[in-house]
Amino acid sequence: MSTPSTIRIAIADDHTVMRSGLAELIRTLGDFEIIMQVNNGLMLLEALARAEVLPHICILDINMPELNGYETTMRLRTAYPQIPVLALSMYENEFSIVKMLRCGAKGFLHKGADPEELLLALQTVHSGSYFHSEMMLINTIRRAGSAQSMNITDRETEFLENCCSDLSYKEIATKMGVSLHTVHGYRDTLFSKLRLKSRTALAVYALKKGVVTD
Amino acid sequence: MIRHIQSPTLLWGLIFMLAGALIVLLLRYRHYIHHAGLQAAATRQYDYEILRIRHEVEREALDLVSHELQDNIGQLLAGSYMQLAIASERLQDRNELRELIGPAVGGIVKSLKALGQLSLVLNAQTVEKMGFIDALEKEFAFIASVYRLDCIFSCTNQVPELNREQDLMLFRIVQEALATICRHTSAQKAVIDIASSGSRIRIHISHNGIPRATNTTHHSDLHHLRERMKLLNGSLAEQTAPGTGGSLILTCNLTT
Repeated sequence: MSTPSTIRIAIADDHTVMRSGLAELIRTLGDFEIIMQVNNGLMLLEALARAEVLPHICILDINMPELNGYETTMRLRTAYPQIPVLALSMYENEFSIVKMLRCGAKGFLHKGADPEELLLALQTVHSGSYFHSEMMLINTIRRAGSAQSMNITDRETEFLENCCSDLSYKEIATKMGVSLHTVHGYRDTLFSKLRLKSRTALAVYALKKGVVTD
Repeated sequence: MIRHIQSPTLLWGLIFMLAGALIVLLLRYRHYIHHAGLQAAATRQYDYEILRIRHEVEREALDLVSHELQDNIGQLLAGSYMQLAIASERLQDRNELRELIGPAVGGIVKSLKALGQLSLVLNAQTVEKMGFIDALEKEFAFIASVYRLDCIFSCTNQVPELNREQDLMLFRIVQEALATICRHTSAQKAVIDIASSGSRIRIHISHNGIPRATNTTHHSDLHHLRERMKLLNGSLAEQTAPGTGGSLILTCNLTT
């Protein structure tokens, strides 16, 4: 039974076992209602076009037949900018996750995420913010202050911008005209300054802080 | 004999005959050497092509495995994880059962993570995109979580610019060397040092396990490694240091 505070969710994933398992798990988490479960992005867009009530959040798998997660997210951003997208990823392949973020996703969730993390992800994207599993750390940074107060140099900012692309570190090094070793240095310095551990967390930080605009 | 030959004409005739015979012999020898050289070069080229084909087949096979791990096995495992997580959530007040399910859930999450790491380093396109060094970092993370082998990496000087094919080949070689160490030495720590000079790269992998395993699979693994090294015009040496472990030294030349 849905109440005004119920968060409505749509899930698009071509793996039926996974999708129904996720829907069931979300139901156990509290005031959530799964209003759509579809196989792919195209079916999701069709369902949304027919829907009388729209979901508050769309959870999308990245690899789907007919219309993949990237394309679906871009179309959702245009047609339904008020609905945040949470990318669902089997594996933490940074290139595909960063690409999803640049397409407009508000965060990504690993398919092996525990229920607490899932709950936090849903609440965070519903509140309009970005989610990353390292977000508690990101929030600490937000409270700590701006990029300037974190002493992030211009070159590190440039590196951060490039982290939000689908370039590998090797390709970033070529683009910035420095060695791979130097790029690793920027990365490690930023990990240390921002207390983060992964490139995807850096990308979420950059998007959240407006270093790059989505 | 020449002293007994009185006629100069006969002498010159003999000299010309000997010279002619020598020239014919030299020509034949040159032809033989040339032919043998060509044959050896052809054999080398044939062996190289066989290795390349094997490398291509392996690439396809590993890509397929990576895809299966990600799209099928992993998804099934993730589905099972979700079901167990639901069961665990519903057993709020039944601690005894939750305690039973807990390790199973933890085990599946760990397997999912390892499958993800493995899928990443098996995929040729991803490895080529990341490049040799970054792919190695991912491999170390996988090995540390599955084999409990702690890998320490150091670069004596900057690794020369590698093309995508060299990135992949070099990575597969180190990946196989590390797998060999994991399988046969019971090591807990491995140190990988890369030094380069021009187009020459030397990778020294030392470990604190059994210095030299004597079983057949170990020999077979080393044989495969040597074969791989040929693709990069390289060689493999094994060193042992009783009491302190052993090491593999991979040397290759990237110009050819």
